[in-house]
Amino acid sequence: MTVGEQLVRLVRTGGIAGLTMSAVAPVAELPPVAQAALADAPPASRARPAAGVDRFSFELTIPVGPKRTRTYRFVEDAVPEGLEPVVSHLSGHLAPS
Amino acid sequence: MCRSIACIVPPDLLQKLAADATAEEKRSLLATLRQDRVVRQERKLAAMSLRPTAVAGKGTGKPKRAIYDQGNVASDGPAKLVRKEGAPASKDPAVNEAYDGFGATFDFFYKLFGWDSIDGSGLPMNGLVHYGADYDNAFWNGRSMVFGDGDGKLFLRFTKSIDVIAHELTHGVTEHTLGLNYSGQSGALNESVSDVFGSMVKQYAKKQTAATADWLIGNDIVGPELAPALRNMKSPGTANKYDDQPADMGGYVKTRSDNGGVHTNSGIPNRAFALTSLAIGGNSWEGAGRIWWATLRDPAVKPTATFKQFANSTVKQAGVLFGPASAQSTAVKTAWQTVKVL
Repeated sequence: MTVGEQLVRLVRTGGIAGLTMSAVAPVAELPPVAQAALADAPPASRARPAAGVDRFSFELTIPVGPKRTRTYRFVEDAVPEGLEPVVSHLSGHLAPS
Repeated sequence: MCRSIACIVPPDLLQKLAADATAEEKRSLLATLRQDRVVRQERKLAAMSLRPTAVAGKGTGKPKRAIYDQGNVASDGPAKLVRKEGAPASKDPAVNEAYDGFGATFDFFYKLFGWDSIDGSGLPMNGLVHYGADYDNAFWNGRSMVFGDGDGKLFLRFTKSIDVIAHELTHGVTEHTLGLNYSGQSGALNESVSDVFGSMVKQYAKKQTAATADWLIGNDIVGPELAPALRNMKSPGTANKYDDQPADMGGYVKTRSDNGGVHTNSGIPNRAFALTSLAIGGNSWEGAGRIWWATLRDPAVKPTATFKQFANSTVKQAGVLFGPASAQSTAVKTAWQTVKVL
């Protein structure tokens, strides 16, 4: 990563372990399908509660301009429509934080 | 006047004394008699909660288990039925672990507290195994207990730990008893109740006393990166290198994450239970376990309960079950004071 790079960040909390996991990646290093998803990202909406307990919760922060970001908060079975490729890619790189 | 709820003066003697007493003495004796009636009723109800026949449900006292193989797909609906009640063991260890873990948890709640399955009325227990691909979690979805296989690094197969299976089933029991809101302090209590009963189910199955128990949660499901356990009830914050559970209210974590830190702040009531059990001695389910169960059945505890409200109920239940001056009452009060809730 270099200074000024646009980054996407995913933070996962909850689960029976309550372990916080996160992943950060430069937009330029995402797979093309994920970059395309970011270009067409939906507006952030209010998260619905999870069905049940011990479920994972997520915070996804994406760049929406040179100095602006947008944060989505959602539960594991309600990924914002269109952003699945981004979440799927970053989920594979989560590490305890 | 005797104010103890384990008062040794029987009500008929109080009535005879009142007959020959002055007006002031009569008022005092009659007040005692009224209090005595309330207390005897409370004790009767508490004793009933420990009898297998006490639950007025439709249950039969026999488990109804069904285990489904999700085929590594992350779907909450049951997929392929692979073992139902009474069927022989499967070749798949995850299936048998879930089946046996449900059985052990069912036995624990039914034999010790007369609670029949998840809802007290014999609700079938559904387990979904092999959920998702390398899925690092187990959860209760309101209908079923769901178990992933783990990624092999942080987590192993989630059915390997009997306390994890009991933890998830207890979430269902909590939903059907106190219905604790899954947020903030009530959410942390919800998590703690699952750890408390999960740990007791493990101790009961392994015939461990409070003193010989390890008080660890999930030590059989953690991989090399998260060893030795998910949580340590006796010493919160020491279970693994990422464990940030506080041991008392001085370290209470205010956060928006994880529904207000429900898996973090649960360390505080967890420790209160472990300390109570260790102070009472013997088997945890015979002392502290009875007190916590009576609290789960206390209608005065609301879904929004705070740590303090829950703690006050445990103190009340200890007095009802064992007497307010008993070693058990002292143990529970001291434990909550040690974790700085009372």
